Amino acid sequence: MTPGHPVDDRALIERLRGGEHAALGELYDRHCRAVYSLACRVLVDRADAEDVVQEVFAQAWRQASAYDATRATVAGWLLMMTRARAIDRLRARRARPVAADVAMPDLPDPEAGQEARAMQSQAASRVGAALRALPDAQRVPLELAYYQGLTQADIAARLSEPLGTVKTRMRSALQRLRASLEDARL
Amino acid sequence: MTEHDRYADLAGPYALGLLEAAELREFEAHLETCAACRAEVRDAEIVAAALGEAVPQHAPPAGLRARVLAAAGPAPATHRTDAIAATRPSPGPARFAPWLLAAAASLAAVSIGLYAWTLRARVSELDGALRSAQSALADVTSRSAALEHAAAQGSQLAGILSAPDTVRVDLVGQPAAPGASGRAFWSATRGVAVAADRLPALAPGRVYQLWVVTASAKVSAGVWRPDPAGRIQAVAGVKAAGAVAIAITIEPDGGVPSPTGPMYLVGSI
Repeated sequence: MTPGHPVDDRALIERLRGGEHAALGELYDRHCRAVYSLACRVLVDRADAEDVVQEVFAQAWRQASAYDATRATVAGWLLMMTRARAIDRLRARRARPVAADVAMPDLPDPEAGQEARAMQSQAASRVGAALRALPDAQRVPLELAYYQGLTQADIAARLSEPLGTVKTRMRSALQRLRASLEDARL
Repeated sequence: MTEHDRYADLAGPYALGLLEAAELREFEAHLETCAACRAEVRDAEIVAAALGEAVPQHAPPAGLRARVLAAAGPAPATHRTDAIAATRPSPGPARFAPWLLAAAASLAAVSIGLYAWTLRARVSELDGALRSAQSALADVTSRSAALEHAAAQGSQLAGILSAPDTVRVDLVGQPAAPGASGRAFWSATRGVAVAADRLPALAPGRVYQLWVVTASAKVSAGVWRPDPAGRIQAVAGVKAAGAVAIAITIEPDGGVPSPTGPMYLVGSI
């Protein structure tokens, strides 16, 4: 399914606000892959990722009136919610006793490669390439912050680096990634 | 380092929802008066949006669509407060979406700041109540999930052991864990079962991750923790063609999409 066209997405949100249930199905068809993929990346466990997908679309349905088109695209809004919920779940999982902490991915997708990357937006492939090009010292703190929701203090402890170093490197990483998006239509 | 530099370092973490408590409040107050930091927060949000898409893409399972539509419930009401607390991860006190802070004239920014301040108190109450309800639910859910997992694992293990294409793989301790050993049963159609022994205890924030290695990829078969005796018994319904090895590495808590840590056990198929 191709990524949603921004104008069509906004029309979809309008219909959601009007309580039209069919619009939710269309929103799902356009964005479920992106939402599910981000949830998988953060949680690894597919069952948890499916739960997050369910939560995100339920939230979008309930809060369509709160969507602000001047602030984010519909895709961006959904992915922000996805990351927030996935990280909350990750933190809850960490807090649980060891016996319950089992992550079992089933049927991972060996096709996720060329074709999948070709379907990402231009911004996503630029930032993905720029991320892979970052030196590990910058990339790792940023990934831990973004995909695991670790605070900078947590990251400093995990990597045995001073907090100031982590802050500087994360800032550099964000600036480099921002620069890589300079020419992209967003 | 100037006063402003101190805040500039916080713009990225703020945009990623990583600031808490006093630091968060201080930074939000600073944002109302500093256009440079607002610009930096905006930049970080743009990167964050792109990072959300820059992940390996997987199609969700076919049955999920029906569940999602069924779970959506009655038609939406007009609530702003919910949305504010719920687009950011929620440890610590509630934070509200920066899209309430306009990048406009400072007068507008101050009045929005005051409005947001009164809103924050109410959101914070709601957030507290929501969080205790959520943790009670999480307890019940995790217990029944654990039971379901145990039952599923049992039948999955039987399937692997009885499949016609199952091979046995002896796992050998690597330099990181010379005393460890293990045995795996691999079926390309049913998955992998592993019994490993004498694995070193995990440091905090670390977990063992199981991999099925093919010529072109390392496919994750889950994350696992050893019991006090250093044993792991793992079962995973992973499917992969042309597998050449089974390996266990050490990774950050929660697992990673492809291996980064040293190998502890490995065996060739």
